[in-house]
Amino acid sequence: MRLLIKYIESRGAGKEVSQFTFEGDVATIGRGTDQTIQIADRRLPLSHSRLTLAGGKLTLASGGDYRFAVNGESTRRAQLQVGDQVEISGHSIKVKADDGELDFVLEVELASETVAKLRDRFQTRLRDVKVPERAIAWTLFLVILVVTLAIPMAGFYLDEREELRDSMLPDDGQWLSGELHQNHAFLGENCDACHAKPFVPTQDEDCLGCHQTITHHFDTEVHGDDYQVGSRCADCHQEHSTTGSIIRSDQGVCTTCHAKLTDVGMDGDGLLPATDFSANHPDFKVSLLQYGLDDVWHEKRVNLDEEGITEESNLIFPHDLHLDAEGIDSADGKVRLECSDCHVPEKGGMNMQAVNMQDHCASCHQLTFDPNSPDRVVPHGSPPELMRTLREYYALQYLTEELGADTGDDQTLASAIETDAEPVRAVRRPGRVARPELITDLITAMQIDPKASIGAKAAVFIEARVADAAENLFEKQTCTVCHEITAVADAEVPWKVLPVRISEAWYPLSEFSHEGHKNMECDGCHLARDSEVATDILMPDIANCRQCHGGEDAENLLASNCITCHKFHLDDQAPMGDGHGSSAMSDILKARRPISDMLKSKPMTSEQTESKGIE
Amino acid sequence: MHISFLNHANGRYFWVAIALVGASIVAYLLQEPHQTPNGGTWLGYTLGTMGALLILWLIYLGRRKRNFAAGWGTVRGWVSAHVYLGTSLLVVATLHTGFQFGINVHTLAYVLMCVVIVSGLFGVWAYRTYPEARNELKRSQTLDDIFLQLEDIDGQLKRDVNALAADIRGVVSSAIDRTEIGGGMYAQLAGVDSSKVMIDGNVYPNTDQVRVVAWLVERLSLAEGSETGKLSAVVRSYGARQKLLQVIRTDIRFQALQEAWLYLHVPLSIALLAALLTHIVSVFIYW
Repeated sequence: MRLLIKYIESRGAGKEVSQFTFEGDVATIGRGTDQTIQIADRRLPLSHSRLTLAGGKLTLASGGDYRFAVNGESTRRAQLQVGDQVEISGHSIKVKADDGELDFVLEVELASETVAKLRDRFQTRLRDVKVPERAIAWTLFLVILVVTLAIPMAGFYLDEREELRDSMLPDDGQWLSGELHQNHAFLGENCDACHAKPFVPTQDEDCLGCHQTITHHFDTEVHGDDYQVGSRCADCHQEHSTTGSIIRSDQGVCTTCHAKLTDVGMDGDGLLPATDFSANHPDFKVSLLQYGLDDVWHEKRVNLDEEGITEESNLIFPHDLHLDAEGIDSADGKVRLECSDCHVPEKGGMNMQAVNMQDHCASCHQLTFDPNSPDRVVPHGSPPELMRTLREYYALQYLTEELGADTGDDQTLASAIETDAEPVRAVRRPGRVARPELITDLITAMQIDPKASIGAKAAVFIEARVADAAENLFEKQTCTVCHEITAVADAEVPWKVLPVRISEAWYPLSEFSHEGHKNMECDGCHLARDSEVATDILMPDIANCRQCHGGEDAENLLASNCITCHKFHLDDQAPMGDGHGSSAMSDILKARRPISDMLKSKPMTSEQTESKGIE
Repeated sequence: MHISFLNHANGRYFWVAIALVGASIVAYLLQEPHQTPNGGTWLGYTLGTMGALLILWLIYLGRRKRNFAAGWGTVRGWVSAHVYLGTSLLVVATLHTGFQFGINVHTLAYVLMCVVIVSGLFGVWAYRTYPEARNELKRSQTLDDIFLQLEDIDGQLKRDVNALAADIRGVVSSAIDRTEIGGGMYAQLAGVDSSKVMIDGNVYPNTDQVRVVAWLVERLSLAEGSETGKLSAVVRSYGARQKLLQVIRTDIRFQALQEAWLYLHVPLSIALLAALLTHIVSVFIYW
């Protein structure tokens, strides 16, 4: 078979032709480059069909299921004649006769892709949908920038923040990273109360404007003001934090220095290293008071576990006797005392209220001095006052009894006392029999010269009686029960009662709340029931606290860090601010609406009134 | 082993990202355990600065990796860095927040960043999954090839039905003319086929060409004589057409899924840029 194969290609108006001669038994048609007639069209398989010549008849047969059309008729196999037009996927092959020695001429015309491709009629890719991606992106960009930044910033710099917040426009509220801490909630939307300048961190002055009395942790005059853990208030006090406290409470804030104070250039002033309450904390030291020879109380710090340390309150008081389970003798018989009968926490529960004679002792320890007048007592607390009371008492006694006896006949004083001695005998305990002594007997017993003047007789009588009663009070029966008494050469009061002072703050460097421990028994910490003398120190040691309190990371104990017991801002240090009341605070409060306004704008409804009434 | 952007340079950027994430987590855990984690601590500022620089760099990378030829580095390297460091940003930025969220511009930036990263991660998965599935589906041909085949079959069918009865001609050519491929974003993503066919003057849904094939098969049973052979050839061709359409439709859906994440990833990256700017400025204006 010999074929002339002509390729005709439309190029604009003209046609371009290339041609070659084929000699062989089978001419193949397909996309493949090995095909006799190659139609470079992806629709076509590599090998589409075969042309064969048998008995002068040209036959076209496709392989597989491929189809073609002959003169518009679709088929898979056809005998071709001169003049036939074969169409394969839009490409045509015309069968022509050759006037030479070739069998046929095949004119192959490749379809130019003038018709829009099928694919182009559909949106088959996301990019065909033509989403205005860039426009959306930059619109989002601008909207976010304008709404969240430009408008609030304009309000800020044009000083129209309040107006902006009252309007529907976006304001700087959306910048708030977290609500204010409750303590600062009253500042409300007053951002510049703390944020004084834009792009400048809150300054300590902004804090100290209100917190003027907050004190330093140490003497900054001596140690400088490098706090190691941060230089600003805000380094430890973090506002707008939605989680956690405004006070940095971790041990790290303390142990940075207190692990070893000398490492940060502090001498420590006797403070031992401490890093964790259970793992590394020195034993407790107590502050003991001592009454010095200079008549002044001195405080000394003593290790609690030091041998033989005593409390020197100058009080004689056996706790065991007073807390005897059987009770203690009183005027009304046996009384069982509880700790709380004498020791009552102050409001807030930090320290104990002072124990005083009047409220806690006097009901049993009556300061009587005259068996004839068991209701008369001397005042407590001032020996000169005591002496004066005695003198007045015996002067009156002499006056009313002796002089009254002189005016009448030789009468005993008994009746006079019954009628006149009101202040002495006004109240008499029922059941007791009055056993008045006869003053004349006393005078006789004193061997006072009956011829002496009345004044001299009185003086001798009164002084003798006062001296007798005072000695009895100070040295034998009353004062000496609780007080240390020494005799002194003093004409007015020849005894000295050592002043009594019980430590108000045993552990002044820590804060202990009795309120917080009120569910515990007192003797869980204070072993008072076994204490025979007041010199015993009844303060608990660290081991006692560690029964319940562990360190910061304690798992089975109450996790306690430094500021559970210790304060950072120490009362005895200088204020960080100027130490006066806050003007900044009052300015802020003034700027707010007065309370009367708020009440006016929110009248109570009748419903609220009614419910109030029911309550 | 096939070298992809995931194992580029022995996963160099994977290890860089792991180091970054590890360092951030360790620093986060080592900060004073009872100090409230916050963007404003020294670690918060450090993580925040790192996060912001990463965001800027990643956005630049995202743009840079489109320039195949220019500059240093390979596209694969850039993509590798973009993917791994972008993923690590999720950890860095989350630690920066100290897990404090609210309804404010700061959380807006965080949420936008998360959406961008998560869409990017979907993109990684999509690029690992769909091209292979599509290649399998089309047996290494391009979609254009298959469209040409469809076009060819359509032409052939139209020719074939010319010799057949008018009702067959009408139904087949209306089915071809009313075949819908692709469509809007949703149609492509969901593979919606809204093809129709007109039979006896009524238009019916012709999803997956089921209606017309059913009609042709039914019509074949009524055919007589030479019509039977010709009609059965049409039915066979139509079956082939149906298969091609299935391939096309699945491929379009896969391709849409493969690319859809970019429609979130890119615009939201730009939006994130704005939110990030606001976040930084607003934090420092009220420092």
